[in-house]
Amino acid sequence: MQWTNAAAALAAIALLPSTAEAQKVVDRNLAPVAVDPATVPMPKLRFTETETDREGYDKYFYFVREGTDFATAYQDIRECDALARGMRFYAGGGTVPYPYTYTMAGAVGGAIGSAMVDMIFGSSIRRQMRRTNLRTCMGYKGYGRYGLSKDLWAVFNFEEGNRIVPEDERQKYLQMQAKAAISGRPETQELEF
Amino acid sequence: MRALSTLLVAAAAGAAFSTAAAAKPLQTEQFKSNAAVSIDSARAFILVRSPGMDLKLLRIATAAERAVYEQDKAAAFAKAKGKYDRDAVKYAEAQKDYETAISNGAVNYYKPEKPVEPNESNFAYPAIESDNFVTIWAGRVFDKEGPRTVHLIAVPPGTYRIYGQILEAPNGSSSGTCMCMGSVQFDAAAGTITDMGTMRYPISEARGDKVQASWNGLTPGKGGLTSMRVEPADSSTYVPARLASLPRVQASYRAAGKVDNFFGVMIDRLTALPGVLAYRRDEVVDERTSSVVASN
Repeated sequence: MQWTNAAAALAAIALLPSTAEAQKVVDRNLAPVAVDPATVPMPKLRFTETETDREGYDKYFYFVREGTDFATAYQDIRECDALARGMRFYAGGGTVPYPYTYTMAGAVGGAIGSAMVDMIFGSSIRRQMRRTNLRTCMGYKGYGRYGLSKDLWAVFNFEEGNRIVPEDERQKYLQMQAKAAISGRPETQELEF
Repeated sequence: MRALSTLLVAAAAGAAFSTAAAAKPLQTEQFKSNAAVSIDSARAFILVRSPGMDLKLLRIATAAERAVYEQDKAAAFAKAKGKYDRDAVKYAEAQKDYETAISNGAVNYYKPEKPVEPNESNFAYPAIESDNFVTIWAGRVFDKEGPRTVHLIAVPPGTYRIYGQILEAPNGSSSGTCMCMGSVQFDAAAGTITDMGTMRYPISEARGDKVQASWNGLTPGKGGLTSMRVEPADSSTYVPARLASLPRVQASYRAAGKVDNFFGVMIDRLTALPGVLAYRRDEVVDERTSSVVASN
């Protein structure tokens, strides 16, 4: 029986975020983070559009809002990223992505529930949810959505299905997205909301 | 066996920050169609039509409840800190054993993991909202004689926000849409029925009717029409005969700011409600005062 409990405890712990991860999440959420835009590389956005590119615009896009500075764009993107992934952002932030983590059983149940959803629908549904949530959130913020070739998109964006992108890596991507967001009106046509 | 116990020490240390606070879910009672309804003075009653795929309301904690919450949180932190102190002692012993074993030529001896001291930043404690969600089940219909199904639920008195349509599966997963980027809230007073009116789903309703989605001059996307809106009750709104003689008021809505996506579902915002709720880009505006509403 003790062995069973021990195994259950270890399995539960494996499913929880590590302390280091939790620390980063809190830091990320508490307040605007000052980043020198000069240190952030500007992603390449100009390309010759092909039919294949246009077919991929549901997945491969970036946001632009004219008259916006880097700090505002970065904060907007961080907010939408947090909302899209179900992290706490408002009221000081926190580490609880859903409301039932107050018991170990709750934490494990939630994680297993998510795993079940993934088994049934696959991670593609999660990736799609993230894309849609980002479009909704950034759209409400007044950003336009513009298509990009997959190769250029992949340089400063990420998909998030079953995999969770490490926080440091995530912030680098988001900073580059902010840089793209202030790059001025693209020559390509604005896409639907 | 020692290796296992050492492992468990490390495991316990890792789990130290997931506190087991006592769950205090709201006491609610959603009435079935054959249920007798009597209004008692200790509870508030909420009437809504067409709650869609399980309507979630979020009760806004009062200042007194927040104070208790902060006390509980502080107590949980102190408990976690005490546990850490004990684990630190166990760790020191386990580390000593480990070093001795290694120096004696042991191989594959489990190296104990140093516990991490909890602090305000890494201490995970459930949000106060955890215990303040109310679910109005679509399947529990109080009355279906009118144009739309009517649902009645008894809840603790307080201020409630329309949070979204969210379906929670028994395995812990959730699906649906939260009105995280703006919504409305209303007061539900004790001893009376507060009539929320009718929940409407303009985009899916239009899809069902095979027409272009629009309402009140709004269209989807940048046109301002969202997946969910509320139609406040008025004198023409259908009310079940059984409730006609009971004390009843129309919900007095006011704008509610952004809130977190606690369930990790799709996000949206409630369609603007003339005279109550408006938006300037993503800012939530209280139309009564023309002021921006803070995020929750």
